[in-house]
Amino acid sequence: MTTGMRLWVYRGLFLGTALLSIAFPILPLDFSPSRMAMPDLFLALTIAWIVRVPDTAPLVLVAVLALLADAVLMRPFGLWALFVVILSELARMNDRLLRDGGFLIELAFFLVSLAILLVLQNLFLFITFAGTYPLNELVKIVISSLICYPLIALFLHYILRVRGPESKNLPDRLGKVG
Amino acid sequence: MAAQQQVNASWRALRRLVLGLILVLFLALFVLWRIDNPRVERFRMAIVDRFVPNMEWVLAPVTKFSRIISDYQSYTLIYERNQELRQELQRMKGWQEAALQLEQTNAQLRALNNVRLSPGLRFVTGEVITDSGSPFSQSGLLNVGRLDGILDGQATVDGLGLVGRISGVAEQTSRIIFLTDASSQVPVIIRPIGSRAIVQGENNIAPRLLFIESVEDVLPGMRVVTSGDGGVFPADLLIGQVVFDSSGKLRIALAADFEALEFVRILRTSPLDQIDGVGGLVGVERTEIPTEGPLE
Repeated sequence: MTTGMRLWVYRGLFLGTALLSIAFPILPLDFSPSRMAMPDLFLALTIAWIVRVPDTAPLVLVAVLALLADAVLMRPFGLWALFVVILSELARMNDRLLRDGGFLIELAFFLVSLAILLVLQNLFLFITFAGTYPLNELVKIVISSLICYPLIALFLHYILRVRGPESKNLPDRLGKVG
Repeated sequence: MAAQQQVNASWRALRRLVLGLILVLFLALFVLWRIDNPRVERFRMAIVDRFVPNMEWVLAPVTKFSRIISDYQSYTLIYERNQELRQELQRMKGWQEAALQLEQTNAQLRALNNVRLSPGLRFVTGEVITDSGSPFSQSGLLNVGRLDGILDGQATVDGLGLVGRISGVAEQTSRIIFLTDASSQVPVIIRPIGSRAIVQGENNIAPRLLFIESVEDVLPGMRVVTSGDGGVFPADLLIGQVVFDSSGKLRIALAADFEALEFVRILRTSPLDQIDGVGGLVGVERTEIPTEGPLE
């Protein structure tokens, strides 16, 4: 019973932090164009969350939030949401691999797939004759994501205490006998 | 055990179905966005209209807090700022005197000419509630919308200069595309030489000045105002001053203060009456022409 409660508490926590991550970029602080591109906080949060506790970030919730982010952040409608859902499912399928491989593997997975998706997005926009994004902005996004992903991971681990299942009782060597 | 496995299998199949549906739906939305853009953008504005004002209780404390910090930082500069302001005030007094005299002359001349000023220029003041949050577009969300008489294309100014134009209106919110956005192009006149040009945003703080008539006459510091060509903006709204950047390109130092944008005015210009065709004959119009009756 307590595990069920825990599940719903974590789902609510995910909803809250995801809404914050969508709202943070639109804070009315400074309207002059900035040099540093804002990373996609929502995508980073979702991937980091799914790698740690996949059950508490359900597919439908991720999809709805991704569409909301698309609407609020004035992106091409539906395209980036599609990519967010695909990437989150990829992370969900490989969650154990990413969790046990260490943080560097996880970070590399996120950055490489982010870069691929940004290029794919430009390709889709190019095919449909919509305006494409300049390449240097895309590079800036990847760099700022490189900085913010570890911060989000630390935030999840130490402040929200969103951690993967304990892996200390797994054998550290294959074929180890008593 | 077997039953449990069966439940798991059907659950997994259902999940796969939902995933497939979501992916197809999103792709279809994107295609629809390309095909029927205005409809999808209206849908987007409806979502924003519902969502963003509800987020204000999250946005407000963070915004206030960071504004307090930046205000605190400005205290350290307060002495220098004071000196500067004093000097500026001295200069402004001269200008004020000049403006007063001009106003008087203007009033006298108007009275002489019986000038009628355009009654269509009224404004609504709104608060900018959010940034665009994207590195690719420069826009903001206002807390006034269709209910306040906002329409697409209306010009937005802050105290000093043009900020941008309205693009996307919902019931209670609307979006401004700033002059700095890459999709913003505004026809302008460079004063005092009177040559026309286009101000093109480039997602940086200083928009480019393109397609200039008689480039060789343009000097830094000249004032740039809207020309009113194209009928989107009213004429003679201040945009900024001409500057040269380090590579010698002509750019605009914007008059509007984009670093501290809070309240803006939306100019509700009613469209000018179109005069179509030439005038008719003067005199009483005869509605019936007798067709029956004896011809003489």
